[in-house]
Amino acid sequence: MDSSISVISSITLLYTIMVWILILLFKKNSESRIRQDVFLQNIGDGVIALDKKLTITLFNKAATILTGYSSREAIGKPFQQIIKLLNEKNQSENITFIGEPLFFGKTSRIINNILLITKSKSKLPIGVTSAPIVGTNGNIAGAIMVFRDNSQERELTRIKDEFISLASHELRTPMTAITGYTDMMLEGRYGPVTTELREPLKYIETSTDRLIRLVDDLLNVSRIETGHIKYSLENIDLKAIITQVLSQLRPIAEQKKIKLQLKTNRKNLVQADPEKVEQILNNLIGNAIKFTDKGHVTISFSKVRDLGVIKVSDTGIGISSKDQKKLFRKFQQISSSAGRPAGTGLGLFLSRQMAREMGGDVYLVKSKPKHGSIFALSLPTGY
Amino acid sequence: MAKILIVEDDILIARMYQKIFESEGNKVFIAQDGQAGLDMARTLLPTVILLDIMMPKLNGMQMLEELERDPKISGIPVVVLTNLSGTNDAERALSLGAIKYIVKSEHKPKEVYEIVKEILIGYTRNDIPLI
Repeated sequence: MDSSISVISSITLLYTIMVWILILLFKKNSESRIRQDVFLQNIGDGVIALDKKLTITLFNKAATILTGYSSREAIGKPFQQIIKLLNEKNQSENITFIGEPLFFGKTSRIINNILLITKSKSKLPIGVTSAPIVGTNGNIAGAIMVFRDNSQERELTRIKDEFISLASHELRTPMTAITGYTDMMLEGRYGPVTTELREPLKYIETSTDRLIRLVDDLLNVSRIETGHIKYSLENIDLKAIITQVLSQLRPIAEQKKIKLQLKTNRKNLVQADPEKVEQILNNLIGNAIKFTDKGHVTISFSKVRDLGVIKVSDTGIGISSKDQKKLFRKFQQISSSAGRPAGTGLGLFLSRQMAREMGGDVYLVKSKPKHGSIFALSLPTGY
Repeated sequence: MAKILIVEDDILIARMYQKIFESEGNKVFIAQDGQAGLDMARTLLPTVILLDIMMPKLNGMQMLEELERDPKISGIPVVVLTNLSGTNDAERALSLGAIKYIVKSEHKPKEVYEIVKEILIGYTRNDIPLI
């Protein structure tokens, strides 16, 4: 009897302990759950969770402020009914970012050019990060999205662009006067110029032209980054543009005793903006001349599938593999044994961006220190 | 000899263009804001107006609109000469009646003179009398 009482007591004690453990575990779990809930509700960015059927399961405070929908209106509703995103560039609806986490288990991030259409139909610039919710069994259970209001950043960018635009205008005006007066003095419009004066006047003119180019490049970077450059695509003959660029650069090449060769004799038609192409070629051929001390710069044209490719090869100083990685970044200049070359370090960055906007590219084909480099500009032929 | 009206608030820039156009045998007048430019255009009836954009009182775009409204001066060719290099500015000026948009920093004074001379040759051949 005593032994049976002792067994029952032991079992009761064991159950009591288990229940306590469960209560404690539950309490701990619900505390952490409450804590998680508080975090999610009060986080500054909009947080929205979906299940696999695209039904909204979580909609925090910031999400209600961003979208204009209350959590009661949103939870349980299909995601597409509440969240409407618009691609700012082509005005198309953008829901691909949900597919990535839900179907491929990948995190997707869209920072720029996305507008959220709110309940009141206003458009809000936002950034979205979406990630898969992976269950304990390893299966994708849904997706969680974080929406960030980009209005302030957008406003700052607008102020920055306005400042750059105004500053570049204000800087250009005195520089135009300096370079203009110097040029007129060199032409003798203010009286004869002595041989001794001619050289320093030339230096003033060259330096001011360099400053103007720097200001222009800075302005162009700002415009490119904000998509404010317009492209008028038309069918153009590259040979005519190359010939024009070569005639502009020939005096510099002749001064350095570098031979300029054009290896094409037929029309090379592409679809592009002629002004931008001239700017890119000016940069590529100008660089080739700048970094070549003897030998030649050769321009050739070929057609690769639906692209017209212009190659600019030189017998110059070449680029080390370490420097090749930095070539297309902003403000990067390749150092040479002859010292730091004149330039803004923006030319190749701008050229590549412009070429890509026109459906082509600017890239380094190959380069070897002390042997020279080959750069290429590709543009769609458009037919 | 052509009569050139330069509407430009920066006097150093205005004098620079005055020098080049006068040394090529033209008569040059300078107005330092859009309103003065408009008044001078009405009284002088210049052969061509070289017009800056960013100016006090009446800016270049507003002056183009005013010129367009006044039949007495709406036929005078206007060449915009500015340092605003945005495509939008150029398109707007051309849509308001300017016949050419030149970014000052991209051209030496002599090149500006050559461009204006070409325009004047084209115009004078047709309808603008040389004064």
